[in-house]
Amino acid sequence: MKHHWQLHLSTILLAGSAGAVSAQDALKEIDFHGFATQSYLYSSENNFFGESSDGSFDFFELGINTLWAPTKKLKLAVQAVARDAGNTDDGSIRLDYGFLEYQLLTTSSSNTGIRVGRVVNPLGFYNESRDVAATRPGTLLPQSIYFDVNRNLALSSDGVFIFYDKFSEQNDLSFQLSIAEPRTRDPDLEPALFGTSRPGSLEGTTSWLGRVLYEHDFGKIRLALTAADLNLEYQPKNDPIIRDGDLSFQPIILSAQYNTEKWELTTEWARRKTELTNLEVLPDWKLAGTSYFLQAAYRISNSLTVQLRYDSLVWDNDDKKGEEFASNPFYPYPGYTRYAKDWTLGLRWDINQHLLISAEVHDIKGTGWLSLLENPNPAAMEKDWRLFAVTASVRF
Amino acid sequence: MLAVYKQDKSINNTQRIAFSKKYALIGFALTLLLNTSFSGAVEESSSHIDESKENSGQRKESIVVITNLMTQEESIAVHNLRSIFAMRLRRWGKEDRLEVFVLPDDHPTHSSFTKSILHTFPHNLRRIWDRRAYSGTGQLPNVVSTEEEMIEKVSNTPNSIGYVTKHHYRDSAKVVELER
Repeated sequence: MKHHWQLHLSTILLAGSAGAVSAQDALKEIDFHGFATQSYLYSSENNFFGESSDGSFDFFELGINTLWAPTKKLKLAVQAVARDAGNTDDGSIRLDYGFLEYQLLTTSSSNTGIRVGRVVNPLGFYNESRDVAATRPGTLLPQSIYFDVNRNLALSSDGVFIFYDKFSEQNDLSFQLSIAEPRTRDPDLEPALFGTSRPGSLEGTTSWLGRVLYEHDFGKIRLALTAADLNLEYQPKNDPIIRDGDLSFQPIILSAQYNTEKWELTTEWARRKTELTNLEVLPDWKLAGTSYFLQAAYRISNSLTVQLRYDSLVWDNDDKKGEEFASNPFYPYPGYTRYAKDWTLGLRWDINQHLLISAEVHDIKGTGWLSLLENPNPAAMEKDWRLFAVTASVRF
Repeated sequence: MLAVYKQDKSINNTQRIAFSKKYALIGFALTLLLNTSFSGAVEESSSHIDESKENSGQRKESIVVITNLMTQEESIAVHNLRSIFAMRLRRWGKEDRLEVFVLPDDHPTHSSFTKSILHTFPHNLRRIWDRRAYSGTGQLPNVVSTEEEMIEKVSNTPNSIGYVTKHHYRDSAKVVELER
C-alpha cells in the first residue's frame, strides 16, 4: 500500500550514481496530494454555507496539489481547489496557489528563500491550509478571524514572498514577508463592503503581509505576530453611483498556543482596521474592530478529541452592540448584525492519517459573520441561533 | 436593481455546477476510501498487535535511528533530527535531499520514537507535516507499514533515514549515533 505517492522511478539505478543530478533524480522529486471534505450543516435560524435552516449538504471542498523539486534549490508548487459553500462559493475550480520557490541559503539549522507567484498568506495559525479539514481546529474555522465569506482574499495573494527559518536546540523562528496583490474574486466581497453587489469590480493593489512565528521545544509553545496592509481598489466600469473607492484593510493578529500530550490551548486576538475612502458620493468610513477566540482541546484517546471554543467578533469597537448602527435610517439593519459571540463544542475522530470525521454544535448570539448573499434581508436574521455541523474528510 | 438581477442569475449557474461537482466528489472520496484507507488500516492494525505483544515494556531503550550504508555522517544532534523528521529540513552535514521513512501514526514504535527520541507526539508531527504539505511548502515523509519494510527501504534508498526497534535491526543499514 502506498501512503505516499512518490515516484521512485529508479532508486536502484541511482544507488550506483549517487550525487549526479540526472533526469531520473529530478523526476523522483514529485509529490501529489489531495483532499476531499463533505459537510452537513443545520441551523435553527439563519443560513450559513447553503440553506442550512433546512439542512444543507452544500459545503464541500475538493483539492489536489503537486510539489516538484527538480533541483536542490528549486521547487514548483501548485494546488487546484473546487469548493462550494452555499452562495458564498460556487464549486468552480480555481488555482489556490502556484509558485516557484528558490532556496537562497540552506544550512543544517536554517533555511532562507524566496517564493514568486500565487502563495498562501501566512495569517495567524490556521490560514495556510484552511481548506484541509484535518488542519482546522474543528469543522469550521473560528469565524471572527478566519472569515469564510472572504476566503479567497484571505487565503493567498499574487506577488513575492521572502522566508527565513532558523532552527536551534529549543527555539525555532520563522519569518515571512510578502509584497503582493490580494485576490478579490469572492462573491461575497462587494456585499460585505457596499451592502449589495455592484456593477464594477474590486481589484487588488500593492499590499504587504508579514508574520513572525516563534516555537519553543518543537511546538510545545507557539507564538505568532501577523501584520498586514491589504489594499483594494474599486473599478466602477458603468456603476452609476459609486465612481471610485479605495479599501485598506490592516489587521494585526496575536496568536498563542500551548501543547501537551493531552491538551492543546489556543488563543488568537485580532484588531482589524478597515478604511473605505475616495468614494466621492458617499462619505469615507473607518472602522476598528476586535476579534478573538479561546479554545481548549482535550485528547481523550489517540483518535478522539473534544474541543470547546468561545469566539467573539465585534465590527466596530466604538459601537460594540451595533446600537448606533441600527439607528441609521439609510441602513435598516439590526444592531446584532454587527457582532457575533459563538460558543462551540466539538468532537473529532481521526480514524487514521487519511480519514477524519468531526462534528460540532454552535450556540451563537449575533449574526456578524453571516453572508448577505445567503441572508439577503438582514432585518429577517435572528439574533439567537444554533448551528450544527458534521464533516467527513479524506486526504492523501 | 441591476445588481440584484445579476446576483440571482449567478446563483442558478452556481447550483448547476455544484450539483455535478458533488457526484465527482462522492466518487473521488469513495475511491480513496476503498483504495488507500481501509486496506491500510486492516494491514497496519494486525501488524501492530504482534509487535506490541513482543515489545511491551522496554521499547524506549530499544529504538535506533538508521540510515543508508552510503551515508557519510555518523551522528546527529537531536534538534537536527527533529527538523529532519518534521520535514522542514532535508539537509544533514554533507547529505542533502534526505528521504525520510516513518511508520504509521498509530504504530507503537512510531509513538515511542516520537516520544522518547524526538520528545514530541505523533499528532504534533502529523500536524506539522499536514500544514506544510497542503500549503505547498513541504513534503510528507514516506510511510512504511512494518519495521521489516523500514529496514528494507532504508537499506536500498541512498540518502535515507528511518528508525526501528533494536531487534528488527539488520546490518544492511547503519545505526546513527545521537549527539546528546
